[in-house]
Amino acid sequence: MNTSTAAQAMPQSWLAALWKDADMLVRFALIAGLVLVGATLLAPWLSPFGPDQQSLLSRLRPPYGFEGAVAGHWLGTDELGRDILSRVLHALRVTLGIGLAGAFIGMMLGTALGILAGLRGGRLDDLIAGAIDIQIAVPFTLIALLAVAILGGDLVVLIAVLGVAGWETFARVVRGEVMKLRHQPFIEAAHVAGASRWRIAFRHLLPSLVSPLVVMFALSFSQIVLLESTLSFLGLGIRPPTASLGSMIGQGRDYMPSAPWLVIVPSLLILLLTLVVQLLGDFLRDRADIRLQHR
Amino acid sequence: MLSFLIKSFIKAVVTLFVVVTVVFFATRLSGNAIDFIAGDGLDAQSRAELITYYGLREDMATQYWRYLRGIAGGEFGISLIERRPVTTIFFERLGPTLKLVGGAILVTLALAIPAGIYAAVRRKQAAAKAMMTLAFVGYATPNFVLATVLLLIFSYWLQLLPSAGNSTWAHYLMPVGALSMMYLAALMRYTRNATLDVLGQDYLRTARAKGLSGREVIVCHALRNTLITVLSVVGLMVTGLVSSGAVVIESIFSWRGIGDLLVNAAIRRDYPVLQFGVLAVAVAVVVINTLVDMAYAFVDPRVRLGAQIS
Repeated sequence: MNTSTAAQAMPQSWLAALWKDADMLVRFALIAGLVLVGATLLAPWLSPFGPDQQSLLSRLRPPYGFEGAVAGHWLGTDELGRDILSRVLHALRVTLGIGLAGAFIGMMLGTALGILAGLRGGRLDDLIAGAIDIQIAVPFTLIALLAVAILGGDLVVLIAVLGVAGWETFARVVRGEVMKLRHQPFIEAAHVAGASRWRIAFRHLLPSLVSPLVVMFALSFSQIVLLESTLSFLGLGIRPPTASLGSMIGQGRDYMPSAPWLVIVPSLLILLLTLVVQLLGDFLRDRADIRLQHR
Repeated sequence: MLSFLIKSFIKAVVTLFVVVTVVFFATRLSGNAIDFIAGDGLDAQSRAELITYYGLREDMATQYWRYLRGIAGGEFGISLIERRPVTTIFFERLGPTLKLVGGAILVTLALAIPAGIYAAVRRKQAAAKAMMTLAFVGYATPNFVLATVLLLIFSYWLQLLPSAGNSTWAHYLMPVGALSMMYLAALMRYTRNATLDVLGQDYLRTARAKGLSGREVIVCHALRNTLITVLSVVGLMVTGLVSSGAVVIESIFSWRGIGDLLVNAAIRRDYPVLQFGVLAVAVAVVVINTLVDMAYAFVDPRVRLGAQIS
């Protein structure tokens, strides 16, 4: 939702240039990405049923075209007779929403700390750089496991935890960029002209950081989607009846022998999503020509 | 070199201290742990006894100090559910995890590095391109999706492989495969890029110009420099395998290891087990990272010299 408004605000030529640079695969990913985002935004109108609407008479029915399918349930139904298509659309909404919100929190936090560390230097920089090192050293899945166990799987908690997950990448890269930029003539000139620290940070530094931030946002988004799906799959993320793609696969496992579509449909969707995100992320990174350490 | 070692060591100690502290305060964020364990139907006296038993009566600072002393003395508490020392439970589960992760590391290293080099050297050939496409898809596939789909195909439909446990070699195929895939793909892509970088260097052109065969150029000159670059990501890969990969895969294949233990502890709120498990895995990760840093400094003089200058 953030990205779509941002895209509208950009001039038309920006999108056109992006399209021209893309090869076939990336163009496919762009279109598929737009379709996914569209499906997410329109989920309430596209879904033939409510995501939690049960129908005990038509439980565990296979998708359209298989024996025993019920008309109207295009992708079949689950163990409570809920429509898989409707659930998957809403689950995609949850997954993407959490990914965006989490990546956004991580970006705000990491960028703020990165700029602070890079501009102020000294003790504060040592402290923030130390925190970055520690966060890199401790695997985040463990922190998330601990946090979710303690604080419960509330949606707000989940987003906050996942948001914190990404701060370190942003902080590390932003800090490095700011240190490089700090001694550039245009920053020093602004300093001499009497600009305040805030003004330098927002008016002069931030615009130069936009392109690495966009790339990191894409990478962080895909990491958070993966982390959320994993936690939800394990039963430690989203709480029922709300479903995310990960929790649908996790719960569908119990019915795998008799009703494999409960697992296959969300699996395919998650695969499509991660492929699209990765193709676009790689494309943006190559285009911006930014070297990020892959984790 | 010595100052580099000391620096790595201090960094590791500080990291572990922060982890210990964060884990302590995090587990107490949720209020009184007793209310979680015991639920509502507890009379006031037993509740008071439990609070004393678990040492929750003193203020935070005293508890924290006692906790640190306990860690120093190897006391990590008792599982709230199994009523046994967490260390005993943990070490029972260590073997299966080491076998699973060890298998995945072997598979990953044995396949990814040759495949990555091949894909770089023969980059115009169809086979190399197909391999890289496969690696791309493999990298994008979440391991729990891969594991679930493998389970569906090989255990339920074809009925070829067992779905749970670890008693025979056949039990290892799917978990090791599902665990390795993402890291295999990542390392292969990374090795390929590192090799391509090396292949473009002047000293390789020189080596070729003085008449070495293609194979000799690759083995004698390119390989070593590629491996130096690759080594820097192997550490990240191993820690990823240990921490997040094993947690997911063990839980899917009912593999009675550390990951399975931690997920169940998180679900059942068995704090002492979770607390120790997180600490132990963090220790493992920090130790591995430090070792990799050292190995890196050992093979690449620029790293250790740079460390001395700064």
